[in-house]
Amino acid sequence: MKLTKYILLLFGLLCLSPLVVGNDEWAEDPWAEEEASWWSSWRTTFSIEAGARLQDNPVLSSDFTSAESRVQLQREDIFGRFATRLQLDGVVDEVSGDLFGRVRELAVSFPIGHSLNVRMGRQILTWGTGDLLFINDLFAKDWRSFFVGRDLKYLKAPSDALKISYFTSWVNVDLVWNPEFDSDRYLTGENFSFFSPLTGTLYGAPPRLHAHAPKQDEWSWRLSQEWQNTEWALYGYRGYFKRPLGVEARSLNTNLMLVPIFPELSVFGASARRSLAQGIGWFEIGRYQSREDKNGQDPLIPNNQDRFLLGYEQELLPRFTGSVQFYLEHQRQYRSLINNSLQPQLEPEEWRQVVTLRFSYRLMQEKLRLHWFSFYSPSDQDYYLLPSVNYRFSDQLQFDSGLNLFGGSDSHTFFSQLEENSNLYGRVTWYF
Amino acid sequence: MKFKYICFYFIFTILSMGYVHAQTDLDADTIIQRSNLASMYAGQDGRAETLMTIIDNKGRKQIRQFVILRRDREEGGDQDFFVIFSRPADVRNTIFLVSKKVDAEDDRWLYLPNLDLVKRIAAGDKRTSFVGSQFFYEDVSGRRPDEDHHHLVDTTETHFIIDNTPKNTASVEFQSYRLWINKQNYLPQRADYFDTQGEVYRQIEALNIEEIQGYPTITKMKVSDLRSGGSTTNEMRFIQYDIGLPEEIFSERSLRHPPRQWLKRPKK
Repeated sequence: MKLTKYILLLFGLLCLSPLVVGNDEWAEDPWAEEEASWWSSWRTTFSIEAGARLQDNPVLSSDFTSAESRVQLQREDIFGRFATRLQLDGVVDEVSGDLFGRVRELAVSFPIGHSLNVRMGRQILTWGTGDLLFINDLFAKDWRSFFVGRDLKYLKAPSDALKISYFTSWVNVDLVWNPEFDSDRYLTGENFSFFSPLTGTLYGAPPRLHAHAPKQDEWSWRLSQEWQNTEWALYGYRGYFKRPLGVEARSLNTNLMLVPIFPELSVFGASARRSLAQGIGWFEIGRYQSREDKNGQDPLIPNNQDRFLLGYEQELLPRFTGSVQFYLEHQRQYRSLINNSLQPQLEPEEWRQVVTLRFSYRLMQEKLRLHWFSFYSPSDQDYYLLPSVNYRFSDQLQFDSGLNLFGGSDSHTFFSQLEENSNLYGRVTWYF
Repeated sequence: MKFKYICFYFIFTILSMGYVHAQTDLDADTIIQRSNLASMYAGQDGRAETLMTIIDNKGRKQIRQFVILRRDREEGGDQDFFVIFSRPADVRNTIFLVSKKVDAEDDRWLYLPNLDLVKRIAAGDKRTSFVGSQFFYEDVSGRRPDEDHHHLVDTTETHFIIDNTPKNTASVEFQSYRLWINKQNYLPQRADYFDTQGEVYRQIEALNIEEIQGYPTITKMKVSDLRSGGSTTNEMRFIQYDIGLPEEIFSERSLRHPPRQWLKRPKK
């Protein structure tokens, strides 16, 4: 019932929106100095989105993958050498019935001397070269938002961190310290089902999956430089797997319980990116060290891996851009993995391969954008397709719609396990 | 990724150029070379604020507003551009960094602040819409003089009139274009683009020229799409030349930490 009302409201607003926003002229002087008053320099964004499952989900009752109204307030300020960013989100989530507020960004950055920059507080952090494939970027991601088609920026979850950047003529150094581990916003079974290797079946909440995140810190660093038209970087990470991929046996009263945990992880990697032929080429590698299972013998902890990525992007026709990526995930101690596994049939392939394709087409003087992105794994025989369309009605109003289609031949592989969550979504966004 | 093909070069059309004495008996190639220098390379560097007003064929209005920093690596040669948007709201603080190369494809980067993402952009067709306006990337980045054959058709009291035909017709949508170049300052004041039927379908006009620090500068220009009826007007203010921009501003560091002291509006 609630949902019906919500959908009616959504359509009502949708029908009214062009009229309302169409009358919005730039009344003020566009050349006026900004930040006339503290109050007026907030920027407000309002969005309504809804997503529906394309099929019944055997373990979840809701037909909706998302139904939310979101108000976002954003501002930046300069106080002498200090620059601050603040972003607040207020959300009414009709699927869960929750109403919540979140501080997405609250950070201050300032230079020290000529070659040092410090940014501290809640912030969004990104590095690396991959397009929706991340090897050395181990900053928190919000997969729950991504899989329901929310604005791409929500794929990056905030980190509470201190970032120190040191710039010299021959190398730039970035050091990021998270005093407390920030996990990904992983699937919990709420709204999105996934395959549970413990039961061998699809898992859906309740109860929602909950893993206790370690209270310890995380370190990330990067050395980078541009040399001979190529951007080079070396990376390091010391922390934990960002999703609860490990399992620990704990005794509770007299029962033995298996609980999900974030096993310890270190990563070392490198990347390069440059213009190549008519486009841009990139390459990234990373060595994943599972510190709690160095020999690959513990069946409850993920094994060591090497990851490789190769990508290329080019404008194929005017306004039509295509890109392709090849991604490899190698289990370094595959024999040990299989020999010690409790369920060898569910273990990943020794070489997991993923190919991604992206196509973007801009039409109507950039007002209409058509996007195609797809993941396909030849080794797992599964896929994830994300076609989408964005229409810019005006500077104040945009429409987005798209599909998240998961599928594959086995029920347990990475994308295939999400098949029953395939969804169609739509979103209207107002910028004030 | 919104506004991939975002902009920048406007200014240097506009941050342009020193005074050159008008001479008689110049050939078309020389005039075009001088015009290129006049319109693209004023001073060693520069800063300006730009407001673009885009009107589509239904009369709907959009705004693009940004600050641009420009630095010449070499007079008449490679240049760097740093463009940071303040409007519209969805691209606020998005930054476009371009290393313009005379002999190769430009290097371009885009910084998306909401993702903290530095994205490198593949070279694109230069005759497609620039940030959703009726200007093309090439209108503002400057078309290389050696891409066309130039023919001086007339010299009036105030202007050189030059017809330009492309050497590679496959790379452009026009059959030819005619330029009106001011004899005093070599700034292009009007460009008419002709289609295969010989009809003018597109026109660019300099609506206002001011002298700034001794450099004649186009501070207002308009492009009209005569087929659809849409147009874009580009206004520049708070222009400064020769401010001593350091080279390291045009780097990834500035994308993640914008150089505020160079971006802020100069006090009178």
